[in-house]
Amino acid sequence: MMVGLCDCNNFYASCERLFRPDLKNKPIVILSNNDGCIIALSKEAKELNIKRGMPFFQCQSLLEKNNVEIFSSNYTLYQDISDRVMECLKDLVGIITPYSIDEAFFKMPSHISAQEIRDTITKNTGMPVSIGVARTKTLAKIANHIGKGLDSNCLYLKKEWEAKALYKTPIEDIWGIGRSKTQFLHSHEINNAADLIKKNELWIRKNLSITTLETVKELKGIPCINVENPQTKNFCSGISFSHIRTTYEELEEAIACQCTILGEKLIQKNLVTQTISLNIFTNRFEENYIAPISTIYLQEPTDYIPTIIIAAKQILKKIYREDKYKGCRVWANNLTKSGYRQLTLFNNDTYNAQLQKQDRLAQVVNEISQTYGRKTISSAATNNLEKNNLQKREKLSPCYTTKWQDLASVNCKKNTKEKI
Amino acid sequence: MDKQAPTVLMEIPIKCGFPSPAADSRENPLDFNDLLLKHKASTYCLKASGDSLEKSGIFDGDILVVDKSLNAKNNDLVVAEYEGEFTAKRLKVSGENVSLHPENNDFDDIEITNFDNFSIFGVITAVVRTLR
Repeated sequence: MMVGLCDCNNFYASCERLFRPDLKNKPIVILSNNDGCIIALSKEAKELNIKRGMPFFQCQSLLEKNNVEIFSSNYTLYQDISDRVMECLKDLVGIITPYSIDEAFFKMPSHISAQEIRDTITKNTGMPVSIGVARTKTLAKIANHIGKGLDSNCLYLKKEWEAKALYKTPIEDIWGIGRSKTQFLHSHEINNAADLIKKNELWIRKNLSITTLETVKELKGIPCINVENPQTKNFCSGISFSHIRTTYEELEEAIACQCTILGEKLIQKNLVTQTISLNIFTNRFEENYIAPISTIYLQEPTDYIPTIIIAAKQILKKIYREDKYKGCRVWANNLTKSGYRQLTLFNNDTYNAQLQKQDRLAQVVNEISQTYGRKTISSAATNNLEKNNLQKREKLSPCYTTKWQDLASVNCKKNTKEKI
Repeated sequence: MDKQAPTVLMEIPIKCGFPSPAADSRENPLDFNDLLLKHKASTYCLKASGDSLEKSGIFDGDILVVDKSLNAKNNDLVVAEYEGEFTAKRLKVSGENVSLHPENNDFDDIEITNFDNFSIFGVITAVVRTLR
């Protein structure tokens, strides 16, 4: 059996472009919930060396200089386009397993080619997608990644091509290999997927984890990952500051921003976290290098950004002492699918009331944002970023597909005389 | 004298009028989605702005129902992406030649020679206009 992976190309940016023909081939960035940092970019923006996670105020001049189109995240639009892509894929291949808002696994059928699937979805929904097909999900991820670089936007990875593909795949690009594992593997001169599968399985189990062993088996063509249970065990969001930060307040602001990115990641993957960890660090190449770290267990798994910010701030209070900090990292551990929220032992009425209050707050925030624009209301913790942000332009795009008053306009005014 | 108690057959009232002769023929009422939304995932709504297509029955402010899954053919009304904006025109295809007909006698057809600046967004399958 061959596994297929359908993945949208630069999903958020492509959604924004769908009803804006003027933005064809133009650089686009999408900002996080409170317009604090960049969470998604188009291919053209990536080429300008703009990176995901950059605080908006830090790259504002670079964006302006290059005429980059800036959007606040419009999840209403993204979810609708995602639903359309998933439905279209389902029509073509039967049962699918959505893995995140912009990707889904499926069993590759025999009656249709990867290219046909790719072309049909792209034409029918307007969303450019890539298709990777291989013997396992991990290999399909690699096939998809390579396919994205091809004109056809798809790759059917035959068994005899696997060795070459693995050799070309850097270790950090393998699905399920995170930053700490990458560092560890690099230190053992394991630099690509081909190096990794040469290692003894016992060694991997002993030095890494059972999940890494599963990844290795998948790379060898033995299917063993079930995506119904989240394969990702933790998410990390971190940043190296462009200038040293020393005060508690400066760190607090940067951390709130990273928490927001982390929360967005969780929402995007439909996951909730049980723990939040924070690490702040000074320059490791200087004397007296410090990198304090601590973790907080949450009462309930959450993807609620204000809760994540509060947790991270509690940790900061505990570990902070004045120093010259170079960066910070926030982690979410013990991830579960949201919706399967486990109830805590202390799940009493007061707590439920608090949860309801959170839901209501989220709802009100949502309503205000929708009526008066996204920037009207945001978490107070990121206020400093907001002050730095002098952009007055409304950045939230219309909900083209879900609101009658937001439909895109078709020009029926002039009769274009020029030759096309 | 033995007085026989009256036989009560049933005390619970049952509503049992004559069964509707049409009950077996009940169908769902008209659903506008059946009429307008043949391909749900690939149909988008856009709004006409301007009156250049009045001859084709498209007026300013009309909602255009656009199906992206259809292949545009000769004489279809289409929404095209042209020079960075959406425009609605009648498509003319004859052999290798593709042109856009502006539906206005004052102007000639536009021959499409450069496809870099032009693409068809979708075929207009319906026009929705509310009157009051």
